[in-house]
Amino acid sequence: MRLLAPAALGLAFLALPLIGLLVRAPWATLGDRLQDPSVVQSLRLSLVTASTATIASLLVGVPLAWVLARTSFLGRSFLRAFITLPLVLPPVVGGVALFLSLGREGYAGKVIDDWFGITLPFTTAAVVLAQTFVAMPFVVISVEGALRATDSRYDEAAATLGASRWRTFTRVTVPLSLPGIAAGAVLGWARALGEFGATIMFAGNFPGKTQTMPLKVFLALQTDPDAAIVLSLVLLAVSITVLAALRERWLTGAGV
Amino acid sequence: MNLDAHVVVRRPGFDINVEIQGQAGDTVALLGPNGAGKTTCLRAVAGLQPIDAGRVLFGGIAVEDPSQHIRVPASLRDVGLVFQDHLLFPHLSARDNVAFGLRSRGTRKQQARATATAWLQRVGIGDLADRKPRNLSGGQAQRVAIARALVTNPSLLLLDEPLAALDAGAKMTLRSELRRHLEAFPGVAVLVTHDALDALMLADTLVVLDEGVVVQRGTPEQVSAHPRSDHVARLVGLNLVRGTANGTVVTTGSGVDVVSATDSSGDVFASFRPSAVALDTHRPTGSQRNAWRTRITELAPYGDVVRLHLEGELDLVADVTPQAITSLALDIGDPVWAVVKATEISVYPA
Repeated sequence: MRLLAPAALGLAFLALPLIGLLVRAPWATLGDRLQDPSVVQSLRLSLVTASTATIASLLVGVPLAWVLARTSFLGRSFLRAFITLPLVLPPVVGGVALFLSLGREGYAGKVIDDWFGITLPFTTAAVVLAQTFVAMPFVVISVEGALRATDSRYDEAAATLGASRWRTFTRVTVPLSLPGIAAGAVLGWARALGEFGATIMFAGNFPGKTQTMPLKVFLALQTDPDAAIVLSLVLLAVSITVLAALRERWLTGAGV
Repeated sequence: MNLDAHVVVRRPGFDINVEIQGQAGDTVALLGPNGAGKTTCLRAVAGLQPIDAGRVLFGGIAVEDPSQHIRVPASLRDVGLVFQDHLLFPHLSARDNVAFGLRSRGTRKQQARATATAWLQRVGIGDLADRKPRNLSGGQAQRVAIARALVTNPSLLLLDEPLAALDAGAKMTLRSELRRHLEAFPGVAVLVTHDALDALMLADTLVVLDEGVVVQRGTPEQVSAHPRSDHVARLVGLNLVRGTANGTVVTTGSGVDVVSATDSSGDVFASFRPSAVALDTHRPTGSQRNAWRTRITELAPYGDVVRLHLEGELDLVADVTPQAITSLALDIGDPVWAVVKATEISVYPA
């Protein structure tokens, strides 16, 4: 009993808010509200930016994971700790940091502005950057685990067959760790989809441009609570879908 | 192209310090117990294990020399490596596994796949080209691995315990297939094995390792006839005869018959343990099927038995009890009949 009571309390604590969401949902008008152009607009923006951020995270995160998993150098554990920092850093702080560095007056943003005439803050690109900043560590850590779980002797076999490091990576290492990379991508995508703090600091809250689903939920709760509930249900449905996709790897405990 | 390698690798337990030489067409076997450093030597030659000192020369050119900071990566060394557990890429079909090395070296896809298919036919599994490795038996997978290593015509073929993971039946078949591939292979082959029979059947030169150093080197005949340590004697503790089989009778090149209990035909090896040899001063009568006229050339205690080297119709090693020696009053130079039961003789295709 000493263990079961707190366990039940914990379960209730997780379940009750979700039940509240379902109980309070305006089921009668749900269909109409989902077709509201502003809802569709922010959902589309969220899906597009989260997917773009995931692709960006994979393009740089998988090679980064390879460096962590397959090479050995002084300071590697420091590098890993540094990469995981955005996992524990409050997203708002990440947003401030992005703004201060890539903003119009930021040390990097100023260069980008002067040389290419590109202003990043308060654009859709800024949404993607903010999401990539928080999602990439998930991808790197998850893919690193997958690469470590893959027998590196396959890399050696490829090398003796004349394969360059790049060919080995693309034709052997990546295909063999594809399930782990996919799991990392889904996890990163879910994190990007839920991104709020860094986005609102760095990209602002402009409908159709930077107003993603989480931002719209926050705004709607103050003016139209039912709309906020509907939007939250959509995000809940997406999360459950993600869990279902990861079921095999995570819920069975046999994951990365 | 010849191989001249002096591999020095420092390890926590003991250092490895081994010289391996081979001429084009040779098969060199590195023989020794597990943990003797055989695989480390092979990996060093392949470029997968950096050496701490010494050097590796392919055809007189250094591919690795720490003193001159030369280290050619494995991918540029022109070697074929067959791993014990074959390490076929699990996501590729047998054909694409074999084509991988060709594709890495710039062969066009169609050409690479055609050559791979031809090689799969050559190793006898052309009909399995589309299968993934998980749908191949151990013997089939190792044939794919051999084709994958040979398809690029490497100047050096390295085999790391290629038969160790196979069951007895597959091992026997694949051993004689491997022998044919090695005979046809124009470069230097280096075979790592802890199985004396593999080494005796497949190699021209044996390099016996123990704790990272060479304890003996020579031809299989030299090493098995004159083991210089108990360990080598135990490793090569087999009498091996090559001949032509017709039913249960194997006839050697010099016309001596060896009778076994199994039917076979063609070019074969017959092997039997030294302890299976009994001695008699008169030609035995009765159910013993093999009796060869020999003379004792060496006689020495070996553990709790006496090891004799016999020369005559067949050259043999025999282990008998000291009591047998005393009761027959045998000594070096004495003529003796070597007697072996047919059931003690194993016959393998050559």
